[in-house]
Amino acid sequence: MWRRKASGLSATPRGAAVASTALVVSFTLVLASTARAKEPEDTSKKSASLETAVYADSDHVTVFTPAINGNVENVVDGASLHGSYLVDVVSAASVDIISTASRRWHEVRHAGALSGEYKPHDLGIGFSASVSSEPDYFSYGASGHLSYDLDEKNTSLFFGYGYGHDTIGRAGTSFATFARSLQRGSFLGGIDQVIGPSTLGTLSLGVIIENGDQSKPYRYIPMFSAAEAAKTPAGASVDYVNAHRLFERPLEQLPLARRRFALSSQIAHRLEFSTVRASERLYIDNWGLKASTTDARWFVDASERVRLWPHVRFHAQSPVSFWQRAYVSDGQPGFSLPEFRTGDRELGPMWAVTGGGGAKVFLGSSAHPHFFAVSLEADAVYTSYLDDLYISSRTGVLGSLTLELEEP
Amino acid sequence: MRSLAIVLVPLALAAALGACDPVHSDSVDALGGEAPGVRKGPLHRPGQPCLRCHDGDFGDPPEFSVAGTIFESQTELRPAVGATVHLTMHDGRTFDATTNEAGNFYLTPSELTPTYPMKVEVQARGARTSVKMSTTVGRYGACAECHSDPAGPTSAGHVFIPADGRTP
Amino acid sequence: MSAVPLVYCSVLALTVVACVTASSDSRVVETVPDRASFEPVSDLLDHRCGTLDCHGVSYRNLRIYGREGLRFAPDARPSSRTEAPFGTTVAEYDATYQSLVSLEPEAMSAVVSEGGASPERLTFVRKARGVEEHKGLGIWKEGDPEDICVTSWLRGRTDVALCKQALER
Repeated sequence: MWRRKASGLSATPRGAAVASTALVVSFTLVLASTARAKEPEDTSKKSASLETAVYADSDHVTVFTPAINGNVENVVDGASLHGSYLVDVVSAASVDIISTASRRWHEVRHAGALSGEYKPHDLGIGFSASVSSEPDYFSYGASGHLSYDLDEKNTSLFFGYGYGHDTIGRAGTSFATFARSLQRGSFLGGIDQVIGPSTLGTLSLGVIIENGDQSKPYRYIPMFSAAEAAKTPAGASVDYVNAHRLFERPLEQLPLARRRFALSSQIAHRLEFSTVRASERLYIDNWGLKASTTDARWFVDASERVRLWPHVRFHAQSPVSFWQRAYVSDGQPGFSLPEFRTGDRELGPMWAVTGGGGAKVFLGSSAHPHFFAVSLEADAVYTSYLDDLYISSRTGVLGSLTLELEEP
Repeated sequence: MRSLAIVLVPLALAAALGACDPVHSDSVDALGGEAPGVRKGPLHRPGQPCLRCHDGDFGDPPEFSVAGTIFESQTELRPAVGATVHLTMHDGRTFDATTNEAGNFYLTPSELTPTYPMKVEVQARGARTSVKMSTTVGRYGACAECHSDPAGPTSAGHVFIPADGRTP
Repeated sequence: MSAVPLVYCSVLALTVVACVTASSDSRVVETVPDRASFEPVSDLLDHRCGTLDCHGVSYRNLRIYGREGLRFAPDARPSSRTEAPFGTTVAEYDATYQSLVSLEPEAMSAVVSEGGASPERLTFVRKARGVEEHKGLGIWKEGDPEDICVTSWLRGRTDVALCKQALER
């Protein structure tokens, strides 16, 4: 027997960030459920969902992501388990690829995650582990966190640490022949605070320490003379760049260490028939990039079985300190080149606005209306690149369809 | 089910819109339309890079592995009918193709899947000797990809073999 | 519980980070292999890699100019003849040299400054040897005359005779 459980979905614009939460293999859940059903008192709550997301944009990138997700709450008193598995099917012919007269490429990424928490009283402990694999990138990570409730659970403190390791390679080439390593340590601390009878706030600080060369092994940066660089316009076409660049076109080179800080806040307020949820994230790192991301959703209980929500998001960022639209090479005899050089638009100045919404319909029986639910979410994203070659804007659409089951 | 279709169809369309290949599309569009009076078939588009369209992609015409056109003159586009194109693969295999009335020849993957680099010799019909291409074919079996008109810094000009078979 | 300490720590951390950034002006001056002895190597690259369907295309990251493929002057044409004005020009040798040595400046500097040791650190060496994914597949194997021609140049002692021999293969 299954019970309804709300499953939030956050729509993210790029293929690598499309997948959200995770599910346990449904067979395991069924097995656990069956085993539990034989016990005299099964207080666990089980849920599972199947999600299909599609992303496509004007830069000729398409991502198709099927995912399964499973949760078991209260396995034993205060314990819960969550698991997920997804596949990203990426097809890209973006301007970065076109600029080298290459054709569309296709790639598949597999990712799985498992997490759990045990919090029988005020003190809780949790863990998570994840792994992601694609032909030229392998990543794994694990984290642990503590949480502690105070003031009759009106306040909850949390702190966690995570470690991640990425192996960066080149498609079609074994990691033994070519590979770079990137290590990542993450700290997250914060506070959940009940602000009022219907209002919950969260404030957190995240710190990520990255060591390793995360330069893209496929990205070569066109070089210009000083005179040409000054004339090269934003959004210069592939043909323009090819005609005006120098013969030198070195590989991207990023700094070998990155320190990231993010201060996030979120507030949720329950109205009579709706819930408003808003968040703000301020980001800064030692590469000089500063960003602000504001997100808001308004969940409206249109009826007992229908929930609707509009969604808006705005993101703006400044470039990294070594960003140049057109990099300058001083040419012979010494080939003086910029020590740090990139063509990654995600490191340049940009802003993006997202608008969309979603709907969730509970289709269970009258006795258990939330046993089965269908969610549909769609967002459109417009991104403006303020100081880039090849492209000055991009429009994308992201949609997802989720089927959920929840034990009553 | 109907509501599901309403949802899935737009999603599928969105995916399809993002699925085009701009490099390929632009290069095909640049070839222009069919010549008046010449229908699609073995005699069409002489001198054009055959594998741009005959690349085996979904919805495209039958795939070719090696294809091209031989002309009789450097300055005119008279087809060299019945010329022999002798191919020597990197692994030592050889294959001969013969041009048709338009000067075209074409090979499907089932006939020949070349290993590169590939050497090419062309012999005019009835000639005793053949002319060797001074360079090799690197990785792409469409002659006109490199031998396009007009000749210039990026092209050797169309392939031609005089009727007497002498070195051009 | 007050969130003020958390906010304070956050602002302090952000301020510290804001002062520590990667310099936008820093430059790297490459250690490059010899240009004077590059021409026999360039002839080999032109013949084996620089065809108009491979690296004789201006959009490629590695552009190879030469008489057998991509020409530099607007009135030049690919040619099988070696004598002037048909043969590879000095400007074309310069262009190929600049394109090749700048592909991986850091790795090239390391290889050249170490006397050509471990040339497989360079992607173009690995791709030519066929040990890395390459649309043009493996052009030659490690130890072949072509490979020795290139690696001898990286060592600073171009084996001109072997480069010419490789050209005839």
